[in-house]
Amino acid sequence: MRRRRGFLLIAALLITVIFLATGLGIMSAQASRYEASARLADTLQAKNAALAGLDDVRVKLSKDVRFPPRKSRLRGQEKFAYSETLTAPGVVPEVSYAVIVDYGLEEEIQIRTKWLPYRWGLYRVTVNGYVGPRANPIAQSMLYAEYHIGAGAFIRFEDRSSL
Amino acid sequence: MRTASRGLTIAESLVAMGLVAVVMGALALLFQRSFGVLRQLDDKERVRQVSRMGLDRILSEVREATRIVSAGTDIVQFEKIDPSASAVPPIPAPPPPPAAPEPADDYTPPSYLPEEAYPDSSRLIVTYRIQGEVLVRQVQRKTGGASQSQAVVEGVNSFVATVDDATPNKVTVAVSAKEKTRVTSLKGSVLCPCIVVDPS
Repeated sequence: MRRRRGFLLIAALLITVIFLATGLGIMSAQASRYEASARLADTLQAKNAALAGLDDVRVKLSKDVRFPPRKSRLRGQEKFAYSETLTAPGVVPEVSYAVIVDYGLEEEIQIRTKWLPYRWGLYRVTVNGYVGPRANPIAQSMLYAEYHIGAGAFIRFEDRSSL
Repeated sequence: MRTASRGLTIAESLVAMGLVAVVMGALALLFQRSFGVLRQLDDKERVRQVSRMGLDRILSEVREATRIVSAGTDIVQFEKIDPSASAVPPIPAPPPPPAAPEPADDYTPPSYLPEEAYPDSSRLIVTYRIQGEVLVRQVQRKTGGASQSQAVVEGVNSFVATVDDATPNKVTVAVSAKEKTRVTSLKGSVLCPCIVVDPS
């Protein structure tokens, strides 16, 4: 008669492996869900950072008569860029935005007795929101807007990033 | 004393098999229940996701609006600039005459209104509506012509768009999707940067 010693041990091991594989499968499915949620949260944070940048540039354009600075224009440039980090130093991930104001469609004329020149036309504004370092971000969002100098308001807005 | 080569009796085998069956049955019941709960959560999540997709889709495009044409139950219609359009550049100031390098105080600059930067031919009318249980997006040029429709999200039952009277640039949308017996509703608001609010 054939010896069948150790049969129960192998059967127990087999059942353990099956349960382990099932458990790991369920856990990995949940892990991918958590990862997707985290990615979505980062993307939304980048979008909100870009919206904060857009509001910042809107306030600067409507309130600050010296914005955007014209010195660069005298040097033949048509764009002015600045950036701001929204998180405290050392906070990870860093959240920031970068703004580019293109004043290629701005026209101006100096009136004889006026302190400031009369301006009309448009400013083309591009705002990028970042989560993580700007050189290698975890998530990025790009907004584009056009500011009408005469109306003192945006007349065009586009979300150029996908959610 | 029994030797190892003798094997198991039928009674021993039956008891062992019975025990294994009881344990496996209990485990199967446990798994069935947890899979049932998981399936329920999946269904709930799917409906929530449909609502979220519909809401995000409407809100992200409404944010680009330059004017809200109409807002109500199962319809929101607004005007926006064609993404492929470029602004008509402003007329530059005339070169100053040598005798008077700077114009006088009563100088009138060339006209450059927002409507001149983007005439009607650069503007689109976008409509979101419900057809059956599908959220449909329809686009037409402001100057007329053929309209294009596309299904955006399936499974959306209804939505309501409202414009705040006090702040006309604030649009609120509530999207509802139905799961077997329960309705999931999500609500969100956006401020449209291109709609100017009268400070008075």
